[in-house]
Formats: sequence, structure tokens, C-alpha cells
Amino acid sequence: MSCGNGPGNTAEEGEVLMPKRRILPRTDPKSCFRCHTARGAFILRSQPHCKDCFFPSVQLRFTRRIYQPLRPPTVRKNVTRPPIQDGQVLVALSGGAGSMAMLDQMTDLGLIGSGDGARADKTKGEKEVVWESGTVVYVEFAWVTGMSARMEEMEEVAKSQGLGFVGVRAEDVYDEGLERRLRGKCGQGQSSDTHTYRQWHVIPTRADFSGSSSSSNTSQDNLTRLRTLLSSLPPTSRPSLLQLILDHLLTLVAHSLPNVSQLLLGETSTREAQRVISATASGRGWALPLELANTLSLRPSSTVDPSPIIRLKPMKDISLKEAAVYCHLRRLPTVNQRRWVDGRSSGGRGKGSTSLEMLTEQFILGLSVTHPSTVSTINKTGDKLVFSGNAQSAELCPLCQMPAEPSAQAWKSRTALTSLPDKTEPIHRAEPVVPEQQDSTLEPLLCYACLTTLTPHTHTAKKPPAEDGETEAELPLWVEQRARHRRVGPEEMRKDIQEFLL
Amino acid sequence: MAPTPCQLCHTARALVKRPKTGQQVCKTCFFEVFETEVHNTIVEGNGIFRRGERVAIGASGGKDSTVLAHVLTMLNHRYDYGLDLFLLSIDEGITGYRDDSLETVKQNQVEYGLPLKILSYNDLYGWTMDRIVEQVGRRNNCTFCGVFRRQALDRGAAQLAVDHIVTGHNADDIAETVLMNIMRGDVARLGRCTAVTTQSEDTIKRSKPFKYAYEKEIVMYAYFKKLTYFSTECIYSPDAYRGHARVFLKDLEAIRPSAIIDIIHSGESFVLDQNTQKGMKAMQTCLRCGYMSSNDLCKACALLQGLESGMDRSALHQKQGGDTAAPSGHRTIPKYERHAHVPVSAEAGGGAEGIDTPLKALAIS
Repeated sequence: MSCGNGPGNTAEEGEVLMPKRRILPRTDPKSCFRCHTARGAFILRSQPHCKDCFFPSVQLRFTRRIYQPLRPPTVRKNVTRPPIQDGQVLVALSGGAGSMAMLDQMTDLGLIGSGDGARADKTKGEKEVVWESGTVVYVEFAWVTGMSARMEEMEEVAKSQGLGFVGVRAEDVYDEGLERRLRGKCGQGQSSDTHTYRQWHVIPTRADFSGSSSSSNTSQDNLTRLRTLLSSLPPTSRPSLLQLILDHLLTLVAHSLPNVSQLLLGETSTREAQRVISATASGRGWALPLELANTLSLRPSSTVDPSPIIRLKPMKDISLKEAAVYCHLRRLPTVNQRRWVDGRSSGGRGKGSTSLEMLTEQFILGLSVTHPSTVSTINKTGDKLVFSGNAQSAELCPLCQMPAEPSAQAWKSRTALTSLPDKTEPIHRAEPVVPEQQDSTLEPLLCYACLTTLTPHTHTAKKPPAEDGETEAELPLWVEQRARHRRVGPEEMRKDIQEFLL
Repeated sequence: MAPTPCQLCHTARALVKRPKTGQQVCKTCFFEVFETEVHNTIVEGNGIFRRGERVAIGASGGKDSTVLAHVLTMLNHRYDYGLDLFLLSIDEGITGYRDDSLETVKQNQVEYGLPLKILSYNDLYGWTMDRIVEQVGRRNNCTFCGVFRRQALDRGAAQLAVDHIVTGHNADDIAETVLMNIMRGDVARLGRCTAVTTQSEDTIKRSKPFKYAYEKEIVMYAYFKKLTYFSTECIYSPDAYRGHARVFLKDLEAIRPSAIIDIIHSGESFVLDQNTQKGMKAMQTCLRCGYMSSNDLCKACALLQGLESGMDRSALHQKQGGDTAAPSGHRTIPKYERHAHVPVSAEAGGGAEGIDTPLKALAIS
């Protein structure tokens, strides 16, 4: 029915109409709503705040969020400082308001020590650090997005706070020696994983991806490989893939550095709400509860040093606007654009947008003007979701490295038919060649969202590879590693049945 | 430029581009793939229907219910589901809107040879939407309409002695509902809004065979099949919150056509925290009319009491607890009873009162 109340809708009070914005009692709009004394300096959540009330409010929410998972379960008081942790902390810095505000707060609260093992003198009122030392990690996307490189700037920020610094580039996902370099840089032992990577290729216009042991293009620049991959995928898939690259590199650095116990991300509540909606729109509902979890144990990409590292999001209760105001008041330089969409800034609107994430961000920010509780309501809804699979499963999607989703491909093919059995010719693809040049497909191993990310919007007719000279785009190296773990090769099969072979 | 061959049969000329997949297909293949997807939805798992079930199609005269009546009749015949199909329509009493769409439903009755039952708000509650809007205004009228319609549909189905109601909710509707429930924080509905079949205690099963069918493809199907339907906005339709979700969904679809089905897939994957589920109210029956309710009085009885008391918008805020006897002189909703299945002979034209038998049954082309 046109009004949305179709037959069968359980419309009750409040369903069809969103509860209207609360009418605020008449007060002096210039007074801070907390202390009612000082003049309000800015409006947050429809309320005027003064500077003196703003900082404690932000700090309280920050400490509540960061302290709780680090404290022993027996300690119930929210703001009790947690004991010193076993390892060092890794702080992911993007240069945006969220991560910059997070780092500043951690410094302000004295949570990270200088690494010299010094203890606080409590007789003088000093507070014990929570981590002996810390490192900042920054992932550079400038060569992909066209924005200015900020590696040196972020290194300066880290050094000014007395922290170590590790900088990696997005295109390093094609670098076989990255993990060795990271470990070597930090004096770590070399990884025992000396596998020679097979390269997985994507031929996106044909919705086909296959692996081969071709060693062609090894001399190709890693940046070119990444650019080729991004340009070969639908524009809406670009931010998703870049996010996966970011997540992978952060996890890799966390597991490569010595004795990292926690990885901190500066995602604000606004970014979380956007993630809930855009992940839903991308078909990533299966793994969404894990992505939103307050704490998440990170999976190592190699089998070396599988010690658990916990991911925390201490800015989850602070909005992007509050983080931006914080940085402005503290005079912290920030860059809040990522330009992950064809190099464009997030100022695009409506039909000009080519990104689910951009549309979602605009939608949420627009709705927040008339319905201020939008962000918090979305986040609360997300927090009530639980993961229905086995979070510790070893069966992972090779691309997003989340627990594999059962029957994703079958669901997709059942709900959107692209062939009719009695009419459509079989899909042409390379026959699997066993055993030396083994072509195998990635599709059955991918989760639904990753399958959608790598699939073109239009299912065009498939041509044999020999007939078109299109360039194959290469998937990052970790995809092959994960896929290899999932597949049971003929050698392994033979081991299982060895005793029965005559 | 040479005509593009259909990407499914590779024989006929492609006439349409499927909104869901972007494939260019001929008319025949489009019909076949659309109908096959609906059939797959019906038979998936243990199947939506049981052989011999009496199924009422919620018919409003709009595109969804018109195409649903057509497709379900055809599939019932083609795949021998063994269903007894009925048309069930609700007359809200909106002059110039509902009376026109009901004519379309009557036309469907003739075309598909299905018995039709029309239940009106006036008969059931003593109020039409026109009168309700006069009294409460246009801000909250949808609340009354939705609550009353839901109960009316169940009551009409009970009078028909049907086991099952099917509605024309399509993929766009369900995707909007998922987004809306996330934004409103309605986790209870979020947990069940993607289910193809829903059933609460003592209510009739409801299913959505068009769960994965895009709205655009339904329109396309109706267009090429030359089906007639009534397509106008309800005159009392306000600036509902759903409108925000709808606009956003259309923007998503424009840049990624699979977004609609992707949202439904996400919705199906959502699982609620156990503590949240335990906090939900247990269902009981209304002490006044016997319908399903989470309080002593169901919402419909509470709203009706407000209307009968002459209240305006404050009728929305009638309590659902306390004194369950209606004030003297107030109309009440008749007791809700689920009828047992009564076999009906074709010659008698139906056993339930008020069913209009079809004048003729036309072959479905």
C-alpha cells in the first residue's frame, strides 16, 4: 500500500511516524545546559555546551569505554583506572578527528609510558600508566586517493607524544616481504612462512575470479597493481576493498610488532552508525556483530605468533562532531576526508555519489538534524545483534578474514537467477587443470558481502579468456594465503586416505 | 546497431534489462525467471504452503496484490500446490480512493476466478477512515488505519476459515522495513521482518511470496502481462518516517542495484541478543475482543474506545490496561474467533458469509 501500511503490517503507535523531535523547555540558549552559568560555545546534540563542561564530558565517556575491557571483571566502578597491561598498545592513527582526539586523550590521561619501566610515585599523586609503551601505526592511502601524503606528519605526531611509529602503504598488500620487514625492523624473528605466493586474479567484467600460479607481472609496481584492481571493480566496491586493506594491514602490523596486547581504533559513534547501515546495505549483516564488537580478538594472518590481540574502540560514544570540536579546541590538525571514492571528497550528493558509505553518511547526518537521536539509536540497535556463527572458526572468508558465511553463493544464485537451466548455455570458464597448473575459483570460499564486492553490477555474457585482451587485476596476497588454508589439496587428501590406498 | 540477443535463451531479441541483475532478456524469459524466483521462494526449505491449505490473498487493488493474485493462481496450477485461493480485501472507507481500488479487486476476482471477501472498517468498528480523520486529524491517522487493518485482515481470514494469508510485500518493502527498524531501534521487528512466514500465537500465518521480487520487476511484469491495477497515493498518507528510508533505498539502488537484496540478506543474518529477547512482553489475548495483545486490551480496542469517547489525537494514548469493560453506549469490536476449516462445495459458492463467487474463471495466459 502506498502509505507503507500494507495488509499485514503490525502498525501500532509510533510505528509509522518517527517520534518527533523533543520540544526543549525554554531556557537561555546561550547558557551551557550543564552548568547553566557559562556561555554556551557550541551546540552538541541540540544542547549548548561551554568549553569547561565539554572536556570532562568527553573524557568521562572515553574513559568508561577504554577502561572497562582492560579491568578485571571483579572491578565494577566505571572510571577505575585499569592495572598496567602485559604488552604495549598499538594506536591506529588516520589523521582524522576521531583518532587524533583519541591519541590526545590518552596522552592527557597519562595512559602510555615512555618504555623505560618507570613506575608512578603515588605519594606524589602520580597515576600508574596502563601500557608501558606504545606505537602509532599509520596506513598511507595517498598514492591511491590522490590526497597529500601525511606519513611524515603522522610520524612527527607520534614522536611528539614519545611513541614509536610504523608507517605502511596501502599497496604493501602486494609486498611479499612486508611482514619480514616489519619483524626485522623491530628485531623480531623472521616469519617461518616462506611460501611463494600464487597470484589470484580478478576479471571483474566477467564476474569471474580464478587463481593461477602464473608468475607474470612480478616486476609490476605494487601501486599499479592496486590501482588496476580498484579501477577494475565497480565504483561502489572501492571503499569496501580499501577498508579491508586497512583492516588487514592494521592486523598484520599488530601481529608483527613485539608484544602488542591491544590495538586501538579511533572510530567515532557517527562512523559506527554509518558502518551499521552501509554494512547492512552491502550484505555484510553476517559479520556485522563482530565488526561492531567492543572488543575483538584479532586473527593473525600467518601461523607465527598467534597470541591474542584485542581491538578496542574507545571513541565509540563520542560523535564525529564532538571529536572535531575537541581537536579544534586543542588545536590538533586533522584531515577528515578519505576520498576513497574515485578520489572524490565526501562532498558529493545524491545521484552523483558512487559510494554506499558516502550516501549513508549524508543520510545519517541529514536525518540527525531533525532527529538528533538517530546515531545513538542506530548504534544501540547494532549493539543488540549477536554473531550467530562460531567466532573462533578457522574457516574464514579469504578476503575479509571473518568467519565464513555458509551457503552465500547458493543464496545469491537462488534469489537472483542469472540463468535458466533449460535455456542458458553453461558458463564458460577454464576447466580445472590438475595438478601443476591448478585453476580454482574463489567464489565458493567468499562470504556474501565479499562476493558482492568483487562481482560487477551487471551480469554480462561471458566470453572465453582468449577472445578479449582485458587486463587481469590481481587480488592482494593475503587472499591466497587464506584460500590456501581453506582448501584441502590433493596432497592432504592423500595423507588422509594413505592407509587405505593399495 | 544489431539487436542484442536475450542473455538467457540467446535466441530472441532482448527487450528489457532486469533491474535486479542488469541482464538483458526477452519478454518470455523475463516472465519465466520472475515466476521461477517466486516459485523458489515458495518451495524453499519446507515450503510456505501445505497441500490443501486455504490461502487468502490480501488484495488492495494495487500492483503488488494484483500481480500476486495472477502469479499465485498460475503457479498453483502449474506446479500443483493444491491450494484453495481466496481474495480478501479491506475497505477502510476512504472516499475517492478505496472505492476505486476495490473495483480493481473485483476485476481480479473475475479474471482469476477466485472467491472475494470484502471486510469494511464500518462493519467491523463502526468507523470509516474518513470519519476517523475528521475526528483525530491527519497527523496520526495512519496509526489507526494500520492497527485496524491488521485486525480486520485476521478477522476476514478467520471468517473465510483460511489457514494462511499472503500479502504482496516485495523486496523493496522489506528492505525499507529493515532499514527503518535499525534506525528506530525496533529490534523486536528487526528480528522477524525478513521472515518469509510469520505467525504469532493464535493468529493466522502470513507469508510474503514476493520477498525477493523487486518492485520495478513487479511493475514490469504487470506492464508486459497487461494487468490492470490501481496506482495512487493514499490521500491521507502523511510525511511518514518510512519515506526517509524509501528515498535512501532508492539512492542506494541507483548506484548498486543489488543493494535491495543485499539488505534483505543482512536482515536474515541478524540475530538478537538473548537478553533482549527475554525482555519482550509475552503475548496474551485481549480481554474485550479476544484478539492477540501484549496488554489487557488490544490496541484496536483501545483506539476504538478513544474514538467513541470523542477524543481527538489523544485517542492514541488510551491505556491498554485497567478496566476492560467498555463504557456504556460505546461500540465494541466483535469477539475474535478462529473458525475450524469447513469444507465448501463449489456449487454452493462458498460456506462463509459474504463471499462473492466468481462469475467465470478465465484461463491464465
